Amino acid sequence: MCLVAITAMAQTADIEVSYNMRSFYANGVEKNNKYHLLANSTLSKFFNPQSEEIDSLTSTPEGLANFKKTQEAALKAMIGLGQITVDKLPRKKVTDYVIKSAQDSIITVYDMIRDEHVVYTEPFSEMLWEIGDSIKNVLGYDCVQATSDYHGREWTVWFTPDIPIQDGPWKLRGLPGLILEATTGDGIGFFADGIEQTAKQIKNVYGSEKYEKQNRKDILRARRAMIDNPMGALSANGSLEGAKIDPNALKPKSGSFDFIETDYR
Amino acid sequence: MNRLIIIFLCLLVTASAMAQVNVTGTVIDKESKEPLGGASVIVKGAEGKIKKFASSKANGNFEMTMPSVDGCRLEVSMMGFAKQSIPLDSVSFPLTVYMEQGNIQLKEVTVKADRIREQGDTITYNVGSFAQQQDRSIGDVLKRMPGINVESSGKIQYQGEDINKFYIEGSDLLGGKYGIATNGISHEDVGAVEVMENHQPMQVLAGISFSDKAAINLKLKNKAKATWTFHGDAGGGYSWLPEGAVWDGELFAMAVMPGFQNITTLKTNNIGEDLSAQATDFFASRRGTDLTRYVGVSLPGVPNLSRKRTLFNRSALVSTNSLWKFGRGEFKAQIDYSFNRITAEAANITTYFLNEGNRVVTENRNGIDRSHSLSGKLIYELNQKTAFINNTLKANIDWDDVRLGVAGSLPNSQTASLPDYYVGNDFKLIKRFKGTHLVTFKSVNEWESLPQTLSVDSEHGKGEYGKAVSNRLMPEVGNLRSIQYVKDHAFYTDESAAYAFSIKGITVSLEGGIKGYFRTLNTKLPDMPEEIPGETTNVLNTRYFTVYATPKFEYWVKRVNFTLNAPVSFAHYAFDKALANRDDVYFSPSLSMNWKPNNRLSIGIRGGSGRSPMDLNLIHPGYIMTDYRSFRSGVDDFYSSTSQNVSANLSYKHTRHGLFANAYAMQSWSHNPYTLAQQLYGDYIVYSYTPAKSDGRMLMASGNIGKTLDFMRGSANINGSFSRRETHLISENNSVNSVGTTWSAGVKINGAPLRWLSFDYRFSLSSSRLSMNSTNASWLSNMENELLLNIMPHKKWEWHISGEHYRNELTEDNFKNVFLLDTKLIYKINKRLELSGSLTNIFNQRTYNYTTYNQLSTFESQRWLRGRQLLISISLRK
Repeated sequence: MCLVAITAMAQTADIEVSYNMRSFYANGVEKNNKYHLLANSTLSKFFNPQSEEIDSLTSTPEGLANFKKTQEAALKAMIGLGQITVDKLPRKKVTDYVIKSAQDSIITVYDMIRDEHVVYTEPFSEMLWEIGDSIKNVLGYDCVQATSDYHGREWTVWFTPDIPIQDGPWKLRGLPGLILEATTGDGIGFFADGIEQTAKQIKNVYGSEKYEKQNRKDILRARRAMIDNPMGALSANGSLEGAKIDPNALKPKSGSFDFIETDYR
Repeated sequence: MNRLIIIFLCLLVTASAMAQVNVTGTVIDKESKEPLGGASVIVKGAEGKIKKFASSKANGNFEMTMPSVDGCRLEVSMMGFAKQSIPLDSVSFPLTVYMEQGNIQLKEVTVKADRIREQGDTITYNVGSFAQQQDRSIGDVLKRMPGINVESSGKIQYQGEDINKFYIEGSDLLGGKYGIATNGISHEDVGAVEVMENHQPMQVLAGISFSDKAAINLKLKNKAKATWTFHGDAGGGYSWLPEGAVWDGELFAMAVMPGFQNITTLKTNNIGEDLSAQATDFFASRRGTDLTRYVGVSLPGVPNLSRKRTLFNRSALVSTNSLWKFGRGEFKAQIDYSFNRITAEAANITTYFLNEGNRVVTENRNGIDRSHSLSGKLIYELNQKTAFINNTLKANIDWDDVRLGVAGSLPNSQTASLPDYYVGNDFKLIKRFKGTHLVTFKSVNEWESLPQTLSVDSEHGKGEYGKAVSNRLMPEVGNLRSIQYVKDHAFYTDESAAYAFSIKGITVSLEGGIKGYFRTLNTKLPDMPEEIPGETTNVLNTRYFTVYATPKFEYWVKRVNFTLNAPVSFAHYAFDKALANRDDVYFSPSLSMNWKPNNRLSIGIRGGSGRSPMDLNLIHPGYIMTDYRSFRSGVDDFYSSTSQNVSANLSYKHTRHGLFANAYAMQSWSHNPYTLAQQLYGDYIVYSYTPAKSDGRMLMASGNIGKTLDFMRGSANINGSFSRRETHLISENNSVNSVGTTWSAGVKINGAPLRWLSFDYRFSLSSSRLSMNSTNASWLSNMENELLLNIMPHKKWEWHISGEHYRNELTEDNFKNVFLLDTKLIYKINKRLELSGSLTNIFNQRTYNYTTYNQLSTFESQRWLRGRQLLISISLRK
């Protein structure tokens, strides 16, 4: 009850940082997503602003209708120009939110598997940082290198003690200063490209009540199954009625691809 | 002594090595004297390197353990406070660190506000990443993009729903005929496939009531733009039945330029594939002229076998589609021609066991159906932000000539000529004002002529039919001819306007308009068997004029959606004195409710009731010969019928577990003031309608459960259905209550258990029964098994083996089994060239023969299957 009261209370952020997340599609093509971190000393939210805007719009029936209208207007404008570019249509491209709360030392991750809302938590203690000697300048800040193994990957991060917020992109945290850059050996990484002082509210995740609590590894396994067996779900729900399935569709996709966390296998 | 000193020193060193400094303290806000949690506490060495760090807890406390703090500094910082730096050489712990309000100077770098229309990543499917070596058309690749499904006809579904637009480089070149593109365009020319969810192209309710459908856009590679691209396949081989050469060929050309697009395709084959289906318009709506053919001569078919096994055809398709852009407008021209020639043969021998000896009646049916279809469309479209104009002019001519000869005990020959001429124009204007208010004007005008001629020749004096007509004066002895002429044409016009708006969760839309209809029906049957009484000519001019309004209310409360549809119309029917004129009001309200308690479950119920005018094709008091032994007369007055229906559906999905289930049930009742009557006159069957009330009832239920099988990258499905149809008719002056019951069940499993092996298995079982006046006939079942194995021993080689087994129940406990085996070998020489060889129906099963017995007779039937066939193909692409 007390916990609910605390999390329900919106806090004011001290800083807003924008990060570019670099990852890869299953076929090896690079993918870039934009995230923002709103943080103060005890609470932070890592999210995609566009997704949050859509979630806020669609959290009420009227909002949903409005959103669809926005989508429609954008589409009409494109049709008017004779060129339709799906990239420019308003839609949710990133589904995860990461909330880090120092009050209860817990990281909460909200995400979606296809159309299903899932949430899980993990304690702060899972990252054991080793601070190195290297110094690098990121966005004008002198950053110190630190490394840690985390959920199957070895992370190298650069944090700046000049910004005394022990936070960072995604679930990364726990260094004496803000993490501005984080990479793994395989090229996945987060790169800060903007930083501002702010007084924005760190609001709760919209529609957080519809997220169902799940085990982290189960979520990763389910997501993996969808990549390895893409036709399975379609064919199980009857969408492929009457169509012959190309046997090659059942072949596994490129083998080396994996998620940001690989400890689910 | 020295030794003692050494021991002492050692102890001292050990002691100092073991000495740990506990760096502890509390961080406090100097002004409020409150403890500060979340402050960053760092111990830095003399060289400025971070030696240890922590953060203050909620009570302001921090604690670190270090071997030594010599030369170290403690730095405490927190957003909103000035940094404190304390040398640790001469302090004692616990420390109290007072933080003074102050700013930490951030070197700000503007955080770019990520606007909603800006680019993040993309929904675009990268074609190259999904394409496999043996893929040819973009349809092959689309099939394996998650979420997209392509049916064998070429129809595309996204997340189980039919798409509503298909664009190439943002232009809608083909309209609903996009099957030409999915079957034709080489995937190598396509860079990306984009899916636009919730795409409502140009409807009045756009943005107010929303579409769940999606549209697809193909983005071509640069090499395929601003130039012509070609590819072609050619295959030839030998077939054991029909004996002779077989062919299968295709040529495809495409140009996509900034101001001009064209797709032209040419195809032909005789391997059992009807190409006319490939130019099907998936978006076509029902014609308003609403004419249907009275004459129906159908070729004998083989029951319960797949069509590719039984179709003896020659088929060709030519389609050319062009689009020109100027300014914001677009002009499109489409021409399609298809040809399909089908031959069919069947032999029946019926033996009657009579006291004076067996009587054998033989019947050999031999038919040929040639159909040509030529259609053209001219479309002009203007797209602006505030207005949309579309005008579509379309014309279609079909020729369908059927010849069916019956030799044996009842010899006759039927020839039907069934052309269809159609011209239509659709106009649509959408005007947008005040942002979200939309007004639509629509005008539909259509004209259709559907003349039909059926001539039946029978040999004089032979057979029952010959005897029947021999009494009449016929020009030539030995060849009697009876001809049915039908002239039927209609003009339909519909002018409507629609307006929609939304307030406080309630969406109201209103459509209103007028419809006009003019139809002339003339039928003539100069020679009618004498034993059948009644008129054989029909002269009927039908006109109607309807004013209609369709209000629709949609309301959302919590997770429930209510929709009320209340179409109301006033109609005036006139029949040029042949029948009494009629004025009528029709009202057919329906209410539906949909409840979605969560993302997984959706439950809907719907109910409706109403009156509607009868099918005007049923009004013809005189007889029309529909085939050589059937005559049909309609009603002689205009009636309205009423109906009610209720339905419920449920769908459940658990995406993470890959579980999908749905169920549907519907019950409907219909009440007609006329009843179909069936009467036998000798060998003739005569259908007519009597003005007696008849009620019909129908129950339908179906369900499906699917589950992914991730361990072998496959899936499994179980489905079932049940239907019960109760109708009322009069047969031989007796009232007959007929109940048809059917159920079916099926299982499908597919997967790839090994890297080089995949399979696809399907099983289905269905059974049906017809009861007349509670006398039950027996249940007859059909079972089908199909297994496809795919072996990929090497990148360049691929081998398919497939088998089909059918078990059809002819009479109770009398089964007919058919087993068919196919194989195909593919060799890819390089990216442009591919060779393949296929052998279908390896066992050369050529006949589908069966015999059924009852106490007084035996019935032997013989049908033909496509025999063994060898086809060698080569594919080439530019």
